Amino acid sequence: MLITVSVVFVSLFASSVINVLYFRKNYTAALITGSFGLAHSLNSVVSEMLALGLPLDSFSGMDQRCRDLVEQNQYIVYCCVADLQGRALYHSDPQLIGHIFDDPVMRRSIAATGPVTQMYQRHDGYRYYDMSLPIFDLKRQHLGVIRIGFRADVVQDKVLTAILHVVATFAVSFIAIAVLLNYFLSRAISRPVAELSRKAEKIAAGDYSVEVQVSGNDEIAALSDTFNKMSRTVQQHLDAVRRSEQRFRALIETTSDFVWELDHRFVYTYASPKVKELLGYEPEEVIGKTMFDLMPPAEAEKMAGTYAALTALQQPFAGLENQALHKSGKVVLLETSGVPIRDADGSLLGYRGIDRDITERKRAEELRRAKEIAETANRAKSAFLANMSHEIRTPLNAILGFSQLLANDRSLTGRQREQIETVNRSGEYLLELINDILEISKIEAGRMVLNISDFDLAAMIGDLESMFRLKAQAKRLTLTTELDHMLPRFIRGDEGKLRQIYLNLLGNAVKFTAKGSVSLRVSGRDAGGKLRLVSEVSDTGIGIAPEESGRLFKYFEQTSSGIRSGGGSGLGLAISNQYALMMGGGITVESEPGKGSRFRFEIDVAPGDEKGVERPKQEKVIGIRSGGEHTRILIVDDRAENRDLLKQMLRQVGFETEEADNGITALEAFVRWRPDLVLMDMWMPVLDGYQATARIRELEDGAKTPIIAVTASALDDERQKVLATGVDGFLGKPFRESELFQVIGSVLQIEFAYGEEAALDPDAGNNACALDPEAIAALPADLVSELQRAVARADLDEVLELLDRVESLDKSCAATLRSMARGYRYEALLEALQS
Amino acid sequence: MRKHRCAVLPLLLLMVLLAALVPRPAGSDPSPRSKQRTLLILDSQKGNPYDEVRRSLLLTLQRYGYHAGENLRVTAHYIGNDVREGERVLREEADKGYHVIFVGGTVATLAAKNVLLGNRSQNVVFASPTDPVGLGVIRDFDSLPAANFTGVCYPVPVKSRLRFVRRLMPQAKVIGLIYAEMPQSVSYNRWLVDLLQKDPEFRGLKVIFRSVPLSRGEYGDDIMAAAARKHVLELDAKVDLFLKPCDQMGTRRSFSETVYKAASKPLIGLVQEDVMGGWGATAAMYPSHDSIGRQAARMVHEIFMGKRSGEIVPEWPKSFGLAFDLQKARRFGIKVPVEMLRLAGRNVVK
Repeated sequence: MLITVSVVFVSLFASSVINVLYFRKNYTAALITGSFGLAHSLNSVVSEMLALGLPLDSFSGMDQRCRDLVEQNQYIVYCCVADLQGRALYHSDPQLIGHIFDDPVMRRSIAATGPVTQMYQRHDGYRYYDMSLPIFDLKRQHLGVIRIGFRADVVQDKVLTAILHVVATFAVSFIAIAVLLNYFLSRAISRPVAELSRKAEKIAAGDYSVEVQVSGNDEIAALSDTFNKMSRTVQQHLDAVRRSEQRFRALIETTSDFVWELDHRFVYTYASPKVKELLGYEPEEVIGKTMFDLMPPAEAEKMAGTYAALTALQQPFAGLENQALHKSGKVVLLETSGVPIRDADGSLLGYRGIDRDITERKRAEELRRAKEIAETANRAKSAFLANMSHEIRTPLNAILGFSQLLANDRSLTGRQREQIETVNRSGEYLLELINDILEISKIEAGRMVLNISDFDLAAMIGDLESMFRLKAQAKRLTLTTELDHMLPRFIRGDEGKLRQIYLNLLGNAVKFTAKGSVSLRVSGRDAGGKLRLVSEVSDTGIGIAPEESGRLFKYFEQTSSGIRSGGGSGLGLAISNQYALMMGGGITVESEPGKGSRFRFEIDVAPGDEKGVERPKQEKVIGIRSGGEHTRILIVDDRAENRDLLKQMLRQVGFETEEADNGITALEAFVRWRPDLVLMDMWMPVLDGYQATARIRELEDGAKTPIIAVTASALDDERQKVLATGVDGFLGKPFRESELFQVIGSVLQIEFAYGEEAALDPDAGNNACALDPEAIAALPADLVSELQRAVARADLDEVLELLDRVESLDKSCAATLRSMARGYRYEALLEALQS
Repeated sequence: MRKHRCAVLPLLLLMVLLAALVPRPAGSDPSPRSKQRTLLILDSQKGNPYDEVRRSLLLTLQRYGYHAGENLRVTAHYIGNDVREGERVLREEADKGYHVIFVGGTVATLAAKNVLLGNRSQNVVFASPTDPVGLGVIRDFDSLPAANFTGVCYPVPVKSRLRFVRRLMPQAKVIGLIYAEMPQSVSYNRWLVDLLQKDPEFRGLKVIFRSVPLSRGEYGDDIMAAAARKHVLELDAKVDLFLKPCDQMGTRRSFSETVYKAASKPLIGLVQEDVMGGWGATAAMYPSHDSIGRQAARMVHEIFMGKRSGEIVPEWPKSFGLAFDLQKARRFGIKVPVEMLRLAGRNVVK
């Protein structure tokens, strides 16, 4: 700093001296030049005067001009115009006008023919710069001289003033520079360094939050910046270490594992608080013990060898299962993992690791394995059921289909028709049984779903009453149904499952009641803003022994009375109960042997909308009304009877058909025959329906040709799988005619012509007259009475057998009555017989 | 007569006052001036240039050590440009033995000639006559006078005046000069004609002369100016400028005003007031009245000191001044050289 100041001082001083000298020279020159300028100006006036032909001394006011010149130029002291004798013709000092100057300076001025600058020691004692300029007339005749003078000390004064200014400026500049330099140096170096020092002391004291203010971009700023970075880095590292410590402490304290450290002799040097939870010991109790001290003796002996081997390897280990003794004496299964602790030389100091209680996990694993086994078995059962269902439904498709077709055959005798219908009913029963089994399978697999829709509850109750009234009357039972008038007529729920529960309960009630009554009471109650449908089926039947009531809702189990009745599969109540449970309730039973039973259940429903109620068509498709003329349908099925069945069903209403027995032949037929619709069996040899569908979709027109999957699989996931192939419809085997035409109509947008089922019977056209009361009256009275009783019992088999006898007497009348019986129109049938 | 006598008293009072106000020069030697001196002043009329010349005369005499009321007795008269009145005054005063009789102006000089020329005992100093040679009181300005008259004439040298005109208006060819019919005019006009005829410097320059009758008295110049107006109008289209005459009409105001109002050409004046007094001239080259007074005072002093007037060479005025009215110059399209403006100094109307 001293050097800097010295250099600045010397530089300023030297430049000041040079400036003063330069100024003095220039200032003097400027004054002299200025004086000559004034003299020339005066000379030009004199010349103008001489040009007018006037003598040099003849100009009035010249004295005033000389005075003006002196007054107007501060540094000029005198101005004189003199003739060649040295006489002052004009002078700024009036006293000297006419004075003759005879000094050397005047003589040199007069003698000179050009400008002269001289130092003049004037009479007043001062030294002057004297500038003289000769005066010539127009003929260059030398007439006189103009002299102008200024005091030499004017220059000195000016120089002195300039020096003072320079010195003052120098002093001020020096002081200012010194102050500024000091300020900036202090600001730039001293203060930051002191600041750095203070902050360093704070950091040394552990306060890393300090930060040095950085300004500028010099070395100090760089040092401060580096210092700050270092401080921040240290702070960040410390924070990271602190966070890491907190994190690991939190982990150690919150983890369910017991964290430990062992020395090389397997003596605990650290134990986390979790040891209390795992082994019942306080950490302090554990520290100092070996890990083998906490093991059962046999385990300790076994693990000592294991750990000795690990120590020899000095490698991390993980998942080492071993037993430990809880403080309570209980054996705890642990999973131990650890890593070696080494010193700077790499020598093993011990181990650090965790013990995890895997007792529960082991138990859960065993349970999971057992569950997996059970689920495997269940899946096998489901697969078996699915296969069995498929295998059973496939032939049933043919049985039911052809029996339906045969039933339409007009050439059949009544007896043959009854036999066919018996085949059909048997098939229907078998199908129902299969469906029940599948229902159970679905329920057990948790795949059963509710099909919620709006339906007419009152109509359902009315249908049920109609269905069971004849049976009840046949057994001389009183059947009553009560429907709470406060309930809405249309409700929203699973109509099918509710109907199934009622059918089962009412069927059982009629079945197991010999005398008395059977009643169905349906009411509603509000449950927290929701509508609960309360149903009770009561009878005065044989009742249920208390010891048997527990078996009521189990699959394939029947009460002793049920077994004695010789009917049923023992699935009905179980399924009904499952249905009720799905709908928000369960079936409860109150029964007393010999007095009767009361079954009760509650389910969640909601008020329904009449618009959403679907009314099933009871008509039979008899032809194509519009949109389907000359429609070509390709039937693909590996079983000939199924193809034959479909072919007959489709052709009888006017469709054209072609057949294929596997996917390959189906593709060939598709290309060749260009069908409008494909009915595709999904399970086929060579190329199954899935692949065949995909290949057809790749063909020209294949993407826009509808394909309806036809499969015997009744499982929902199978259905989803089929639909995922991109088929346009699904038809499960076995199917009814109505289902077939419904799906075809839906896919092809075809409107079918419907007619009464009996209309297919050629004899049915005369039913109106055949059912004339006289025709009935013409029948034998005992036959009519037997028929009446059979109808009253709803014993369809007996009714159909009796109608065979009628047919021999009146064919058309028998056909009409048979049609009514097959349509379960018992009431109408009974009314006709009674008429 | 009565009127003129009455005018003597205030003049004396004025001179006493001036003597009291003006300090005596330090170091002046009173010894030669210890005797009483007598001075008779006879001015052609009141007003300039006579007043200024007279004031300069008295002030300069004071510098020489002659103080009115002490060692100098001054008697002054105005004769109203009347030669006879002048002759009468001089005859009355001649017997009183004045050391010097100072006559101001051509008329007073002419009266003095008629009364005193040849009287060797009477020293006569004239000032401001236009042409003392023409009057016959001196032979020339280069030798001692033949009689008892010496002094300082008035005119600016004709050559200088024409050069002045040329500097201002280089393109001017014709000059109009209207003069009063009096002796000095005749002299001046003769000089002018001689110069134009003989000096090739002024070849091509022409002067058209017109004259008006001399009118004496207090309003004489107004009468003459009024008479000159018709000449002004007549010459205006013929000349490039008017030159003020070197006579009684030329030294007064009315003629300048008349030319300025009636003419469309500039007037080159004769006295400082022609420009600075706003009389109407655009420019003027004038003799320094102060210088005339000082020159005359020096001669009076020499006579007081013992010389005879016949021993002193008569002189032209030694100092001249310039004056310009720049507004009028712009009006007439005259560009005044810068050096002349500097020469004029304060005598510039902007």
